Amino acid sequence: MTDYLPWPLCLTDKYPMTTGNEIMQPDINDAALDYLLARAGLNLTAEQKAELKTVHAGLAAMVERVRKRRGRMAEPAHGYGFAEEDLA
Amino acid sequence: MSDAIPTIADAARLIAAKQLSPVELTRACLARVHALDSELHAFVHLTEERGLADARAAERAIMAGGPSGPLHGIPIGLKDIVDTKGIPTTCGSKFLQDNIPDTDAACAEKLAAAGTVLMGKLTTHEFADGGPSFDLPAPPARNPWNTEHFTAGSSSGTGAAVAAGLILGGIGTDTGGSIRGPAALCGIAGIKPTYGLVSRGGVAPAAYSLDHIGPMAWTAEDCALMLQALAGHDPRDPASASRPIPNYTALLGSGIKGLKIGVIHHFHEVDHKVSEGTQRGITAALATFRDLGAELREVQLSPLQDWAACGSLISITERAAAYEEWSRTRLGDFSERMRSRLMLGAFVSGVDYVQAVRRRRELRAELHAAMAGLDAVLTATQPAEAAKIDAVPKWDLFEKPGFMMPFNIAGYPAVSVCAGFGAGGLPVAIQLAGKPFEEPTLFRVADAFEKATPFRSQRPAMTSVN
Amino acid sequence: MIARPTLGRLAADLAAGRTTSRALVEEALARISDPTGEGSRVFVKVYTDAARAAAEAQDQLRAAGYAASPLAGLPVSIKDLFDVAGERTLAGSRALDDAPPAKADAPIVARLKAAGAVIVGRTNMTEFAFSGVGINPHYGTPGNPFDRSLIPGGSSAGAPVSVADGMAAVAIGTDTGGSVRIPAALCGLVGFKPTQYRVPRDGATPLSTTLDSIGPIGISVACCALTDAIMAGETADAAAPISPDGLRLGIPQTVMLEDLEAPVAAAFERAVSALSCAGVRITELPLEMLSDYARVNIKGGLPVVEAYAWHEKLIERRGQDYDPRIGTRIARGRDMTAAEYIRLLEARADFIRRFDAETATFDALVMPTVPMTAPPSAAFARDEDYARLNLKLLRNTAIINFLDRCALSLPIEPPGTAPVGLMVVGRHGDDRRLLAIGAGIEETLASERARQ
Repeated sequence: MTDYLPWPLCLTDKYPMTTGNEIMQPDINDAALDYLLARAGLNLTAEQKAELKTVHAGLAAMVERVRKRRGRMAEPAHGYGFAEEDLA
Repeated sequence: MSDAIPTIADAARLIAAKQLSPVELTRACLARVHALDSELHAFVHLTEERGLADARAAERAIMAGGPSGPLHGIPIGLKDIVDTKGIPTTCGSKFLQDNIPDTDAACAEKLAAAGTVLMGKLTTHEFADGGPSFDLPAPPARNPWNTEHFTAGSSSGTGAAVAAGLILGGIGTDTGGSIRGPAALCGIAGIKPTYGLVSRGGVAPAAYSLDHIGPMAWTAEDCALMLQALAGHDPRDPASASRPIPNYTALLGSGIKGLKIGVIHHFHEVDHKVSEGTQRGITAALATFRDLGAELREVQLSPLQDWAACGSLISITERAAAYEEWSRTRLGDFSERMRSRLMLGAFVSGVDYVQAVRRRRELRAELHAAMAGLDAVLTATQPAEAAKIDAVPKWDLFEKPGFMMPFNIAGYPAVSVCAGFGAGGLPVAIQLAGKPFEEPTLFRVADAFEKATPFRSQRPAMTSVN
Repeated sequence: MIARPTLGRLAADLAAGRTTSRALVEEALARISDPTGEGSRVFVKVYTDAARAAAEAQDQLRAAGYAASPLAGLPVSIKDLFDVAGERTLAGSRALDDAPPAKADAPIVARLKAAGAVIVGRTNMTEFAFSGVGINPHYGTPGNPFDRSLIPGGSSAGAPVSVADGMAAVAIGTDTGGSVRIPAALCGLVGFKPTQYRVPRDGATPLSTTLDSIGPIGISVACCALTDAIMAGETADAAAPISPDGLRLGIPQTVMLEDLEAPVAAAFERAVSALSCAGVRITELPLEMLSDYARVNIKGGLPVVEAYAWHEKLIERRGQDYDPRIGTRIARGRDMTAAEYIRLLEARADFIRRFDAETATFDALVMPTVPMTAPPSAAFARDEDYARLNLKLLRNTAIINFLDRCALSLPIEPPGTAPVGLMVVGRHGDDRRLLAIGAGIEETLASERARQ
């Protein structure tokens, strides 16, 4: 499925993609990994980082699987559709 | 030791007839604990004195006024992520080695109120995550059918303890299969009830929107007896369902002639082909259901990989949020398996999570539509017989997709029952799922299957060694 | 279910010299001319001399080693709308009695003759093939073999009775909205509607050029498979049965199961159960789109307008000689505009596309052929009852013609009870595979019956 938004333009120089189409590039480069870990507040050893890189592709595949063309009104499972009575 | 291990239903009948004392029963279980648990590591904390005290109190009450219900005087155990007042609750983690709660979890309270005998706290994977770790304070539980093999998790201790007769019933939790997986590999029955049916109050979270609490026991009927005590609204759990609780054993024994069971063939034949032994168990089960007069139908759903992706992204993110503070400050104190899972949270953005939750709504609608006109659906529980304990893949969520997560995603009740024995004499199972809050029908089907097959008369060999 | 010898059995008897074509044809002719039988209502014309001569010739050819096909020497009946050289094709009517005689045999008749079949006569039908009932005011109504007071179904009314009563080994009919499958189902026989394009329709009086197809009615699936192959100009063989184990069958839940008469519902459920026990993977398919069929065809659909185009001049000239129930219904074709017709064809294409998409992963679909067992002819006395019952008889089968697919009807009633048909529907053009699936289903249901 390739009808997605491309990798953000502002990141393509620093964190280049292979085709520009994937949401998550299967092979994540070190700088991108460091950024994400820093943002999550996780301190990993070099070994742990290396291991994490190997599973990135699997996760990227999962992220791709849950995406599909949906209208903007498609609610997530938590969304409530309150009836008139509920809002009174 | 060579005494037959009774089911809860059997024991209840004997206790009501005053032919069995709760104290005798508890002593028999304790004897098995002392003989077998050094190999099984099912208990992380045995409460022998408390158990005997509970048993004596039950005996007195029963002698005076008869049993208050079928669970009165029955020895049970609780997964160690379930809070127990005054009793250590470690959640299998270094973080909580000295944790002694000052209140009971809702499910612990309810079982105590039903007169059960508390035998202790059972081994769990760290914070109910999915892997046997050798770097945890307590060793992982072993499979009573072959102690070199895994029990599945995370309710690993509960699975082993029930199968070996150390307890007659136990509490497990299920976020992506943690009740049904051990039930399958340990040859017992285990049910993940409808989401919200059993209160999560006082139980450590794994993933909020996927967590379920449920009973594990030798038979589906025993699970029904336990669920009767466990189900019900609890304001402590914000997701607790508020519905009238039916009689879970009412439909047992009424047969299943004319009931319609949808078989999700592609799950276990195409999307993730199960082992030969498992397939034989499923094929034989279908023949049994036909013999019992049920009508079989084929069910088509989105591929199992879709359900796995949806469930994994939700559980990774919710878990990472729950344990964020410790992840940021003491990541090294987690077991390697838990730590590996937590790290994945860094890769899933908020937008990714919402997409997964949107997919969740779609998949739930799909299951709802597919089950119209059906009474239950059937697929595998586990892809194969229990693996050796040192051969459990670390990144198993990236291995082939599991069969249990679809019912966590949808919140529909799902039970695993033993369907025979495969390679190495290890148990294989089938999984049956029902419509929300229709556990009575689900138990009806599971119980009919168990009673039409000989598997409930076979306990692990280690339980009959003197 | 009719217990008569299959084509395979008869061919074996001929090959082994246990009987002759002359003997078989004489027996057929005797049954036809028996005044206590249905012959005068089943056949509008009997080719007594020609059939005898053909039978003689077939015996001589066989003796010389020239049996042309497994159908050689066997008596066959054809519906009254097929051209036979030198004869008028009346199509169950009087209005065509001054039409010029046919110049040549219809291609399917020629193929049957070339295969060595002996055509014993032309069978009675609803006038111009325009109903599923089988009543003909000009030539009488053949009595249903199960109970003669019941209708045989239509429009190929005489066809199944000719086989059931031993007047033919297999019968040829046409099917525009169910006219082979309905009488087969109501009389306890197997009927096959091929995908239209496979069997040439030249020389057959048309009802709806878009929907007409030509198909056999016989004792078994193999009989129909063999006869269809010959008419389609394919290698004359019966498809080997496909094992039911693992076969994927879908049951449409919309329209097809509505309002089933109790014996039909019971027989259908038992058949589905038996198939499921044999390992068939059964799925209940919502197929809500099927409720669009009635809406799209609200003005009578393609048969009415296409029939009117063919009949317009004839009605002007001989309208008074039409069966009034046929004439008035064809005349309604006047009400459809060209634009509506074009839109109907477009709607058909869309309907087919949607149905194909929803059923793509299934080997075949199953449903009852007709929602009821044969009603008594007396139930059709009033026009409004005729109209209502006719629509109900056609309800399930006509959708399959609209879908341009192939379909079989198999008898599934318990022995000695009113006939009920199981319809098995295949993909467009996949006729041989459907026949093989049908043969497997036939075998499975027979073993199930034998077990009881």
